[in-house]
Amino acid sequence: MDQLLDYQKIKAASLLLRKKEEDELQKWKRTALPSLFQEEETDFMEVSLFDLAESFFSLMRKKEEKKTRTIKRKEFSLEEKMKEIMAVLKESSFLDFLDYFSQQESFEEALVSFFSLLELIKSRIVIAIQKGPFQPIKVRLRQETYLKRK
Amino acid sequence: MKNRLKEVIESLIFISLEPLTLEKIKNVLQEYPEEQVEQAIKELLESYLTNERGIQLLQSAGGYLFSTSPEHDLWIRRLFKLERKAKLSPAALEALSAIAYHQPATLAEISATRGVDSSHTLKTLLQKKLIKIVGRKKSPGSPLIYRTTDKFLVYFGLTDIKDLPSPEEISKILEEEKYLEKDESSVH
Repeated sequence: MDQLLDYQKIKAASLLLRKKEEDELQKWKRTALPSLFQEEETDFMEVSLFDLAESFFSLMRKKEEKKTRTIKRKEFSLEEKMKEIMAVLKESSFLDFLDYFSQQESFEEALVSFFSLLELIKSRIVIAIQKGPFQPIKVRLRQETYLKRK
Repeated sequence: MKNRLKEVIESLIFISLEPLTLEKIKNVLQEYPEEQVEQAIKELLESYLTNERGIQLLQSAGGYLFSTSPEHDLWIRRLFKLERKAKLSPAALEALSAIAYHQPATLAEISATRGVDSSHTLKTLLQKKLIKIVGRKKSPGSPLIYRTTDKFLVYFGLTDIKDLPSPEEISKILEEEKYLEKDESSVH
C-alpha cells in the first residue's frame, strides 16, 4: 500500500518535472548546445573498422580480467541497440566509444551493441572519428543525416 | 571600480560552460572583499532583469549561467536546424524523479517504487549524465547507489535539490487527479 502511494507521488512529481523540463528546453544554454557548430568534421579523421574492432576487443579483454562474468539470460536485439545508440546521439551529440562499451553489463550485450554500431556506420548514419592516433574515439551522427532529418 | 567588478563577473559567467558558483567567483576575484563581490553580483542580476536583452542571467545548480530568452526558442532552433529538442521519455522521467526523491538509491529500490525493472532506464540516464554512481551499498550483493547530478539541476532549472516540487505541490496534483476521477465516475 505504501509502495503504491509512493509511486503515485513519484508519478505526480514527474508531471511537475515535465513542466519544468518544457520551460527549460526553451532556454538555450551554452552547456547544452548541439555540436553542429562546435567542431568541424574535417578536424577529425574517420576511424577504420580495424581500429574500432581492436579498440573494442582490447577493452573487452581488460574488462574480462577485472571481473567475473555474470550470466544473465537477457536477449538483446540489434534493432533495440541501434535505437538505443540513436537515442543517445540525438540527446548528447556524441558518444564516447570506450565509455559506452564500458557501461555494458555483459560481453554478450557489448557484442550486440558493437554490431549495432557497425551497422549504423555501414548505413552511413553515424561516423566514428578521432583527432589522431590513440585519441579517444567518438561516434556521432553524420552531418548529412543531421540535416536530412529535418 | 565597482562597476568594473560587475563587468568582470559578467565575463567570467559568460565564458563558463557550467554554472559558475559564488565560491569560484570569489576565488578568482580574491583581491576584492567578499561583500563587494556579492554586491556586484546582485547588481549584475538586477541589470539583467531590467534591461531588454535576449540573454538572461539564471541561477542554477548553485551557480550562475546565461541562457537565451525562452521567447527566442523558435529562431534558435532554426539556426541549429532543429525541429525541437528531445524530451526525456516518461519512463526516464519517472525513474529520475524516483532517484531525486529517494537518493541515494539503488536499482532495486527504484525498480520497486516503479514496479518495473529500471536497469535499462538507469543506463540511459547515466549516459545522459543526469545521474551518477556514488558508490556501493553495504548490503548483500553490494548494489550500486545512484544520485542526481548538477546537470540534472540545470536540466530542470533548479538551483538546489531542495527546489524539487514540494510535498504540498505533489499532494495538490494528486488531489486534482482524485477529483477528476470522481468527476468521471459520476458521469457514468
